[in-house]
Amino acid sequence: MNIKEYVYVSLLTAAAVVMGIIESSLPPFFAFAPGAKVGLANLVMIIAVFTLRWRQVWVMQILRLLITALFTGFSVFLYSFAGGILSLLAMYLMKQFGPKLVSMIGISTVGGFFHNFGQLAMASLLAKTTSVMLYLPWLAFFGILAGFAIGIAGNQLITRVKPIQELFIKESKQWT
Amino acid sequence: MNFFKNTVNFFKSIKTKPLDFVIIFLLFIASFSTLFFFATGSKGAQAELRISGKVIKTFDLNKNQTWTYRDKDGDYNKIQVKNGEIAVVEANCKDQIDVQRGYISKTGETIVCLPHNLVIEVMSGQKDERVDYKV
Repeated sequence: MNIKEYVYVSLLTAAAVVMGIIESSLPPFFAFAPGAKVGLANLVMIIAVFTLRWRQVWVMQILRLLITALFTGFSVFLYSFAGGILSLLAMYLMKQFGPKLVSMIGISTVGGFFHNFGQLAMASLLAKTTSVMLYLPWLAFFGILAGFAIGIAGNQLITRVKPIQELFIKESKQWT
Repeated sequence: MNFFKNTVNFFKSIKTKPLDFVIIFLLFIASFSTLFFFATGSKGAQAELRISGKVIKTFDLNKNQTWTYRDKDGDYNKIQVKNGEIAVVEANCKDQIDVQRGYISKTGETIVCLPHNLVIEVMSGQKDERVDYKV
């Protein structure tokens, strides 16, 4: 890793942390689906997934979760940790299909779905009740919508913002 | 016909691939399977208040009452039982998801307050029907 990459990774991490904090301080958008969020931090993760190598993406995600935990506290950390790790793992597997079969939007949507799934799984583990999982279809619906929107936004950012485009690693060029 | 064409063109313009939709659709269908595994039942007669999995209090849903749970750090959840339903009417947690959940009354339904590790679950009230949840 050269100095330019270090700076880029730290910048992305900082952006993701700030997005997460801003979002947690906003009032909930959907009164009928408590817990549903747009997932602004996911937008940064999508950019990271396509401009960094996987090892760097994982480092970045874990850094982001740890730093955000300093602002939100331990119990929130456990939920976002489960969601963050699971969604990144799902995005990794989804990306293995290759650019011919899946798109950036599909990867982001799968990430959004598994973010919600991870959080609910953690909730039912900690609260020791499986009935929390009944909430999954409703929350998954919003997770998919949010992931889709984030995917479109990420796609536009990556294709239109020149500095990001220049950072695109060679293997990811075929995705746009 | 025009609408159909426009929709297809829209999805093409944002560069989605068919497999995206197949996978998203499958995931969405799969998420409904939880309804079959953990389905809720009929109206319950009792509600259990659990903190970190430990039962703290059992409410009789046929008796109207208000009770406030307080922990060492000064956190509280004000719980109200009214006409066979139970709700958290006031709490000092940040997200207020437990308050927004409103009144519940069916067996298996829960109110969860993640910041306080609090769960309220409606039970049938008959011992033989109780399901032992082990995660």
